Amino acid sequence: MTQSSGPKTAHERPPLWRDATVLKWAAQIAVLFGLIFVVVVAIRSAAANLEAQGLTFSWRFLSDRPGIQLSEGFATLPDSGLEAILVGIVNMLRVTASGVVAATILGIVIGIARLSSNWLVNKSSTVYVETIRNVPLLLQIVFWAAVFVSFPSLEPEGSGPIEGWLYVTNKGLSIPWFFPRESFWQWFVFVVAGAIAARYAFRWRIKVLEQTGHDAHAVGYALGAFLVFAVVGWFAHPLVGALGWVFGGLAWLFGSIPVLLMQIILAVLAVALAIWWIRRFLDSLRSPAGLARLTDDDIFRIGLAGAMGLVAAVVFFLVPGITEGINLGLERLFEFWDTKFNFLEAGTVLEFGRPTVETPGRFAGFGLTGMTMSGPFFGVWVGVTLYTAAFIAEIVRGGILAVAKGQTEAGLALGLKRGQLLRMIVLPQAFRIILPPMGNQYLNLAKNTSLGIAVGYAEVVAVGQTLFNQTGATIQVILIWMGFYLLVSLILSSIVNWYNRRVALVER
Amino acid sequence: MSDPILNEVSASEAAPEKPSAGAVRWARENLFSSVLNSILSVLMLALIVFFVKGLLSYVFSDERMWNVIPRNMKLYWTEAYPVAEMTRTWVSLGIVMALTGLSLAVWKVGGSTSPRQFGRTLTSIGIAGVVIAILADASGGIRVGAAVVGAVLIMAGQIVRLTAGPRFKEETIHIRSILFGVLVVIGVIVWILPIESGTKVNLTVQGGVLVVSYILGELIVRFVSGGLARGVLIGLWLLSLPVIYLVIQRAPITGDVPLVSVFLPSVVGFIVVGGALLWWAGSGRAGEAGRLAAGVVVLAALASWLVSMPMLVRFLLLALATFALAAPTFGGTKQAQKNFVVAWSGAVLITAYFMAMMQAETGLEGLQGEFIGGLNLTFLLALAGLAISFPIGIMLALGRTSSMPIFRLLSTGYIETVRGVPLITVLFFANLVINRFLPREVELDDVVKAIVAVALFSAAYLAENVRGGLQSIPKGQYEAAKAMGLSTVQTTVFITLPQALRSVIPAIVGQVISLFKDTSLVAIIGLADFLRVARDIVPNQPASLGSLRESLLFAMVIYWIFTFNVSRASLRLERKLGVGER
Repeated sequence: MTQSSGPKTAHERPPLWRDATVLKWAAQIAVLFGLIFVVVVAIRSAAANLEAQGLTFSWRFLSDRPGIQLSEGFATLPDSGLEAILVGIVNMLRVTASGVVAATILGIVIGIARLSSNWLVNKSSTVYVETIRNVPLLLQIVFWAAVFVSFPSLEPEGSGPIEGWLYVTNKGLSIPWFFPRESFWQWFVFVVAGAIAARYAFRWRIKVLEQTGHDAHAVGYALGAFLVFAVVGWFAHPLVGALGWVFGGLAWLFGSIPVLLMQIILAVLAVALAIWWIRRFLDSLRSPAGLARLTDDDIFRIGLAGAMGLVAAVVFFLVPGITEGINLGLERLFEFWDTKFNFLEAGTVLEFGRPTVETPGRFAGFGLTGMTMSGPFFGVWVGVTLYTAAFIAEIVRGGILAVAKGQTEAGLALGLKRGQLLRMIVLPQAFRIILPPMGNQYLNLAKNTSLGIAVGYAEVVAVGQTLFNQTGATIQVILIWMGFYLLVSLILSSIVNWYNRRVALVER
Repeated sequence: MSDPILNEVSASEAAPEKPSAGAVRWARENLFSSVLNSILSVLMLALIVFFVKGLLSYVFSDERMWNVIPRNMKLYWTEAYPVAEMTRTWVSLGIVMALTGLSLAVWKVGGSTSPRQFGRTLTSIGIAGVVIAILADASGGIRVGAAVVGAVLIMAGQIVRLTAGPRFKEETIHIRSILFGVLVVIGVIVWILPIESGTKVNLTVQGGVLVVSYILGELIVRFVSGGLARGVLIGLWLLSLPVIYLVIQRAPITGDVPLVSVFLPSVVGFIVVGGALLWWAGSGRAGEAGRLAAGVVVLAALASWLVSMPMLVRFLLLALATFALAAPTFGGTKQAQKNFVVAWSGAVLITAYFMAMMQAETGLEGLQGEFIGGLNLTFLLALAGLAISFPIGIMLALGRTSSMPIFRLLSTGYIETVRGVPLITVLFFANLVINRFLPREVELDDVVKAIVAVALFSAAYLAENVRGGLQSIPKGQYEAAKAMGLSTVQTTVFITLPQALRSVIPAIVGQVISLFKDTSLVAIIGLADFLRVARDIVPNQPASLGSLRESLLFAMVIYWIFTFNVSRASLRLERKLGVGER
């Protein structure tokens, strides 16, 4: 190999084409430019193809009226593309929320069953987990939808296991339920206040327990505080009607603020956020000896943060549409809350509804009272619940096994009962291990609901497909999908990360 | 003198309780150890009996149209493949069987089991048969049959236990003999079922190919070194995938491909000139000039995409650039140089062959030009997706853990974006949108688009798994490599990646299983894969109306068999490679 003779001194740098730093940055910049080039070519081709087909890239389909009818949702005949997508989002959130609750409960039960010393319980749960985990989810959802179709049919009289209370038919499952009415949101404020009060009560009683050593009934006090607020709110909810004025005022504010002023405010906010982040970053590198030497990476990060702040500020100015959209969105949001909280809304809080069977045409159907679960919802919900529960069971089992046996033995030696042992020693430690993978499974559940399209459930992917079949706005709809799902994953992983940081072991 | 302590022991103290034999003691410990446990056992037993009875009644009821499945085997397996050319699919399956048989022999797969275990397994299957006979609400013939088979198996199990003699608990029965027995049983079942006779013969031939190739493999291992045999087999497996799907099942007509005018001179030219270049670059004396030459080739390869020239030349230039960049790492000694140039020639020939096959039009006529469907398509999607996603995933993982900020940013951005969206959106993107982003001359086939989507999706998840492995390597390894003077590429290829990949084998196998299950989603974008055939195509045929649930149950069983066996095989592989041990 050709080498310069003799060792290099500290001041002599290798020639440009052998300098590691230069080569690294040259490679990175070359790859970045290559990527930008590919993206530009792609966008140009897309534009050319669209022109050749006579289509334009526009977002008008969001405000136009689509001629579609959705199978379920809060607005089955949506007024605009945007409303249709919102219906899809709400449907997806409905099945996600109910799925998360059901899967967690079922998963924990089966996870503990896997550890049982009873042979039958142990083996049955193993069979469950091994079967469900090895079959594709789409197949399971389709299967449960097919099972739903085989339920008995709905007759005007004499149907359902418990007529008037519980119906299991191939037109839907129906149960009685409490429905929020006009004053629900006002009462909800009291419920939230009650939850906060319960938390403070709990912490106060725990402190008393630690100081005195006597049982301080922390859970009882917390529940009591919550119930007090809930009951008071049931009768006193009109008092919160004043909030409606506050929201009305805010709505008026955002409706009448000039766009330029809002742009300036947003731009200043973006730059200030960037500066705050950079200062916090530099502070983290500061020690009593002064600022640490900044590496390539640090300079890159600071540059990136500053660049993003500036780009955001510039974009707010250049594209008035964004600021107008923000203003309009906030105005509508506060108007909506105004109507919910206003004095004029005083009325009943919850209404108890029982399922009824009506015969509007030739066939019997369920009335609007009572909570009805449709076939597609049943298929998706049962499918994702059973599937995710199998994975959660394995996670729970791993978590409980990972808590060192010595902990259990020490607890028993201290004289704790089994229940106290579980509650105070094993489960808190197991929680720390279980929660990140469980959060991951919740995210998977949220993404798996997208398979509802295969059984006709009107969630966001299905609605989007109907929309772009009608309007040809495929790329826009796909961008909306990706944005929505990325937002959901971001929120879920932030929650998991926040919890992780809170319970992380403080190590030296 | 009577011992006062001993005399204190009263005569009424009973002798230690004799432990009850086998089954009773087991039941007492496991099922009835406490009051709560007993209640739980009784409840569970009732639940299980109820559930199993319901399931068996459903399965064996007279209304079930189970004969739909054997009658539609061709649809499940290959959907719309032209019937006249079915031999091609049988040949593909034959190749897979032959390679499997050879691999089983060369890798000496399978341990042994003891006669006691074997006897126990037979007895358990027999008991299951008898239970089915008792619980199922089926016709008399089936119940009698199940009872008879069950009784025979129980007796066989007991006979094995009794005749094993002194070596009862030793592991003397090879798994391979058991597999052979299972093959024979499957063969018998195939001949009993109402399948078309031509298919029966073909299936028997396949079984025969498996057995013969296994025997052949055993012979080969005696004469050839294990390492060489394993290397050749791995190469054959990797080649078999494109050969089966591009050549055998596609029946390309090479008349239109400019073989003599473009391909031949390109191949010869690249082998000669490229070989000389690589020989010089890997000789160890090229030094700076070698790297500069590699850089020039890289620039030429990138520039070739802007100028109009045959695709073959572009790909060969890319290959030459990769090899030239890797020459200093893999060169050095004369032997290494020779191997490197031989590898280059092989790469050129293989690339040219497959490009010729891809450019050739297919000689088959199928449903809208797409003739790969059913389970065939599922395997193609899974294997091709896996093969493509592996290198991409490893590159993304290396990028994410790299010290260079832009690579880290780009890799992280890609991985987090793709992991945050469901696969169905990526499939829609590939199916409907990707054509718009490509220049108008390039139009991708539906199946190719699905493979691209699955590969891009799976690469992000693989990257996270490999990243976990990369982060688990102790720093000392990097430091030692640096102290020895290894370059970054050499460290990565020879030290980091092997350790990282070995430690994440369970996660990677989990990802493989997920990939296999996720291929079922292409049913939503209209490709006729196994699930779509089972759900939409078979039950909608006039003769099979109303057989949706039977079809779905069959699909479930097939998926389950594959994924369960893959996860079991991975457990065995982990134990063999000593994952988790130093």
